[in-house]
Amino acid sequence: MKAFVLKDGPFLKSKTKASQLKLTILVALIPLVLFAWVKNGIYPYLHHNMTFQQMCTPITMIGIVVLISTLSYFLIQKLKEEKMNHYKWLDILCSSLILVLLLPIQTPIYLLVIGSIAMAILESCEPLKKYVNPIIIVALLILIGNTITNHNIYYNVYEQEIFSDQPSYQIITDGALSSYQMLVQPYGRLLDFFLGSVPGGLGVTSSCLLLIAFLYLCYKKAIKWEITITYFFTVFGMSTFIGLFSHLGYWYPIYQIMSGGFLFGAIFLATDSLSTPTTPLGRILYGFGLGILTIFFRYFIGTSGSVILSIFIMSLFTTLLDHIGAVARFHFEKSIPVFLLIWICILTLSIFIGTRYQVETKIDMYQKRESI
Amino acid sequence: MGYKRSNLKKMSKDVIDYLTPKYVYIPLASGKDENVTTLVKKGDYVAIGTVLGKRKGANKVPIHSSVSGHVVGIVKKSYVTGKTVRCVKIENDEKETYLEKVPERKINEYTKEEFLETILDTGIVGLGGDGFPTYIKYNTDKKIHTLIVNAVECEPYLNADTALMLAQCEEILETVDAIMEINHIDRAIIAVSRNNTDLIHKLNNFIGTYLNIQMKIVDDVYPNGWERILVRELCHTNYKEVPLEKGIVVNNVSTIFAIYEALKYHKPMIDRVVSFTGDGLKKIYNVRVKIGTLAQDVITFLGGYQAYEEMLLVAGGPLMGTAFPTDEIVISPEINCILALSHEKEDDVLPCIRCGKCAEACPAKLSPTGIDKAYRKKNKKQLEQLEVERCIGCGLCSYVCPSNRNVRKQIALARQLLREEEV
Repeated sequence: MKAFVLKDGPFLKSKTKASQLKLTILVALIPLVLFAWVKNGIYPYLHHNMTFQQMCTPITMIGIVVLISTLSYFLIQKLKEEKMNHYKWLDILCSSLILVLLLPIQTPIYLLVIGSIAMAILESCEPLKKYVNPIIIVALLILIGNTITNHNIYYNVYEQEIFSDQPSYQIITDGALSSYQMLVQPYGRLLDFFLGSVPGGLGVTSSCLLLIAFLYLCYKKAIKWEITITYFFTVFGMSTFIGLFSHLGYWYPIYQIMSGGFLFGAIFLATDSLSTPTTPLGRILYGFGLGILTIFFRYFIGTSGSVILSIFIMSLFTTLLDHIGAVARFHFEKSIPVFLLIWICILTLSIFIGTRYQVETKIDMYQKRESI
Repeated sequence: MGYKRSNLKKMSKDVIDYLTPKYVYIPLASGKDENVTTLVKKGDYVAIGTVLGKRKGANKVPIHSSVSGHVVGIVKKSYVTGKTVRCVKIENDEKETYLEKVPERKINEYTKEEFLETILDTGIVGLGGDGFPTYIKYNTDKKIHTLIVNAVECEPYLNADTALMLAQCEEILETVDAIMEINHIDRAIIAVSRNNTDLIHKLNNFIGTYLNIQMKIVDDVYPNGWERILVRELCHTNYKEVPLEKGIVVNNVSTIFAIYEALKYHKPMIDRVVSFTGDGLKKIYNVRVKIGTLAQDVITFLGGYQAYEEMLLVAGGPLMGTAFPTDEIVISPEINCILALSHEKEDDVLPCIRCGKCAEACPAKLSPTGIDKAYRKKNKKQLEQLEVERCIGCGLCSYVCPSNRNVRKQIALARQLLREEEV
């Protein structure tokens, strides 16, 4: 009598594996890594008086973060006597790349080293990862460190000479409502924001590359795209409202989307699989929440890490949103109060910001012009 | 979201017969119900159609002998549920002696009472895999307005219904028409998979004769053949427990053909068409076999196995079926496929990455990650809120899981926990 293997079904498995999903994210990050080097290293080196060492700064930063975080993670896994597999290698690689692409070019090396080790420790802490994305915590810590040590400057050497005013991050937080001449013109046109030739985090400025990465990730089904889409449209919609109230014009919501590392955060940070809701409705609610918080932080708190802070706060609500999303799959009516609350927040916040800042901005704008 | 079948190897749509096993082992069980009264003993002579046992309780469906010969004894054999159950072992004398010869009858001349009596006496049960007694579906005073004939057969590798329908298309249409007439049903819908072009073509040739029978095409995606999805897609309505609540009856193609044989020849439930398939078999065929035949005998008849080092033998499809350590599985009415697959080394099981693919894939709209969490916390209230009982065990959650986790098993454990606590 022939013996057969006894196991539980199902006996067919999809070819999509967790490590493949991470590999897809890694592939999507590679053009951004190259862009970071070209924009902050190669291009200024070729067109300006820049040393070879300065040209290598972006790639050195990337190398330091990737190497230290990967090695530290490997050592921690060894100490914990846990096996390294493809997924874990790719996971730490992706996380370290995302982290370094977020950071200002002038982040000191010691902060990079501390941040990389901190991330390896947090990445090894499985229960924590379910509640908050380790990259968010480390990025926030480094940004705070940069602010304390006065290194929170998003200019590379080339930009420092060309743009005499504050960087885009600072501008958007100091006076989120301002004119085209104040917000866009110092850096060129909106097209420059689209292409990425404006100051910002190491690899977060090119909206064009980020949109291509997003389309690729959606095609490969590697991210929770509902979050990005809802987040995008919430911020876009609210900015449109605010812009209309303030008579700013249609460039304003586009500027909001293409500045402040919004797209990078919406695509690579907000869609982290572990710390975000699993149900489709939960993801939509999560995206709305992110949008509202981002607008709130941009106008009220004035932090340059508004996207990161929003993601950090929303990830604390993941369990709740998942539960609402799961129950609403059978009883949609139970999610209606949440949607109502969201719409009230969106409308109230948009009207409030749009009407409150209208006069102040004009005065602020003239004052700024005079000081320049 | 679902599993697209089109990437699988096409198998022959012919049906071959294997109707002369030396022994048959008629399971004294019906579905999961083993509460059966045995009516024969060792040494008894039985003919085809002799009642060997009867289910106790409300659903008294008889269990018939599928061959003529002497009862060798009551033995235990592997059954569709994965358990071993008591079976009546009969030595086949190959005389094909029937208990009684009932004259042929026109199938549309039955009254509703006669119809119900016939399908109860002949032991007709659902042949789509559930084994639910068919007479219960029709035994109602409620108006039935729609009969859905399920020819979708959405699970990968399965081909038996298609083969049967291609071979017996006219008889099946005639039976659908008769059932409609007897039960005063307004319309019938035959649901067919989009990629099943042979069947669509064949049905198009005959269906024009029957004005109240429509053919409707559904996407070739698993689990589109699930009763609930069919009712939703074809009749645009949802039901709570059974389709009859909405005046709808759903029957599988093989069940319709069994009804045809019962009405026409008063033939009891003694054989069915089973797909013997998978890369582990030398020849793959749809085979008409007697109920109680061992899968081992049919596979030997088909030429045996490929020389793989490790193999899986599955009764049912690859997503909903059960694996067996032996090929001594008795063919019961619920088995529509015997699948032999080469067994490759599996990837490691990783912790859940909360990608949500299971929730996206679930046709019952469950949230497996939430259920798993609630199960680990033994949170009965939350399990109830997450409506874990809706799971149909289609296995899509496990299929799509990129971490290689057996999500379906976790949900089954959660259901079990909920039921235990209810008790």
